[in-house]
Amino acid sequence: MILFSNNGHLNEEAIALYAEGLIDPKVYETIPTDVLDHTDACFDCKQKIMNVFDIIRNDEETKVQIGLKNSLQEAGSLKAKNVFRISTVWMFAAAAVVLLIGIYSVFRAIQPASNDQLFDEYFTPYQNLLTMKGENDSLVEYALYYYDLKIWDSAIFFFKEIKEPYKDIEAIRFYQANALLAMGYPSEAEKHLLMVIATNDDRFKTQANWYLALAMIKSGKNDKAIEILRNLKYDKGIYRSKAMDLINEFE
Amino acid sequence: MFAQNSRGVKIDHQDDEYLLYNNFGGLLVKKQPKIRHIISGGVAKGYFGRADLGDAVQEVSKVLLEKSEKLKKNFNGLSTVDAYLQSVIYHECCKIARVNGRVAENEIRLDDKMTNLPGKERYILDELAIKDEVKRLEAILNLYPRQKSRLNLFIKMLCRFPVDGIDIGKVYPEMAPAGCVKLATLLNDHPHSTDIELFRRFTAFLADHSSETVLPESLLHYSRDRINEMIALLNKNSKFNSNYDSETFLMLAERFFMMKKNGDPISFNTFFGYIILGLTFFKYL
Repeated sequence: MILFSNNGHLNEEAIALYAEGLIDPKVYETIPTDVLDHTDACFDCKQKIMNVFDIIRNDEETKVQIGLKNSLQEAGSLKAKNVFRISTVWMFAAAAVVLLIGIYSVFRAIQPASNDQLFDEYFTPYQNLLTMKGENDSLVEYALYYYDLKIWDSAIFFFKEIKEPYKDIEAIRFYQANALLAMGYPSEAEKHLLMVIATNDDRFKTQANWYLALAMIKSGKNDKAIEILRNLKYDKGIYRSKAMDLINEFE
Repeated sequence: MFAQNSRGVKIDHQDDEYLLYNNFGGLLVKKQPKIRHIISGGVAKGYFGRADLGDAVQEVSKVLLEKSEKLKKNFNGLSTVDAYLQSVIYHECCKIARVNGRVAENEIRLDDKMTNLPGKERYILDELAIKDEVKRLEAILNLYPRQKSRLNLFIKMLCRFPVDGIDIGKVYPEMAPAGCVKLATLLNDHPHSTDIELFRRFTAFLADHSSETVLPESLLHYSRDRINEMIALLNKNSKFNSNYDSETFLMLAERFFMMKKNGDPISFNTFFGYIILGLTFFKYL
């Protein structure tokens, strides 16, 4: 297995593997000894690994793939070692677990969902449509760059730096509110959404009402949320059915 | 639809590994947003001009396409294809930036921007920044797999974080547990000593209780060298453009050890230190 390049340093795969190992301790355990030995002594390779680590640690897709690969490998190694032998005891244990899960699911189904659960179920940050329009303002681009990466704290920071009289401040307020909601700051999001709704700009009005309802739910203001959702029920767009579903959850 | 890879594992036709070997062009199309993100990072650092973003994406994609056979051949399946490609893309970006002779020029400085934030928001962002940096420090320590226990002990000593017998036992396994505990007590009892005094106590104890004889100056020199390396790694690519020196590094290390020990507390004793650490992020110091 080739993990070193011709100049004696780690190759790209070894660097990627090590960077994955820094994210997931299980992967770290699989790093070959010679790679560990070399990295321990080589500052250049440490730098390269940190560069890749800094890129992939914020990449949800990579993290999911690392987890998936881990579980596949674990399943493979267990199978290879024939550790897991299906016996009657295991069968009973599995049946008991399934039964317990069933009882738990039924119990959960008859329990009304909490506000946080409802919020988590219905909240999806609004898709970034701004930078696709060739926006060249650097702060907006940076804010939406982090927004796309779902690094909410950085996105919020940049959004806050965009000051009026920015030409499309309503859109910025709307996306900032989304990022604040994703970070778990519903009251701050609420202020921004109310400002968006109060303007004459109709582009984000319906969407802002939907997210305002979610912010109210997150803050526990169910009555106000239902009032907004009832208005959305008469909307012709995609929020109509979502609003109806959400009202049904309360009723 | 499924196929089997070289290791006999079933893979989906949309899977990165399948695409790597059977449809490299498709893989490149799939990874375009990632190429763009990585190069955008390079734009933020000034390695590429903002206007060059599209060209750089094209150039990297072209290089990847040209090297596709080599990339397939070199991939052993140890890492995920996704991380492997991101490593390759980053490497190619660095190469292009080097060829173009670009140096950082228009880096957005979060620290300058953050100084204007009101108190509560600043505090939240400080906390997030410090937690992020602690995670990076943990990763950096894992880049020293053969020296980690030793570094752990020496950095604890340097930031006067209480060491325990286990810390010492990991570095000197031949030392009796009682000796380890005694040495830990000796070190913890003198929090106000200078670094060299602390290392003198340490080496004197070692000379009496084990076969190891080492100069305190060498140990201190070794620790400071490694700390300087770690500072260089921390200061590179930080989201918050942090600018650590040895003092602020030790504050961060103390936070790391506290999180390891207790979860994530903020003790009153070190609260002031964290404020200074936070301020360092934003170049107040």
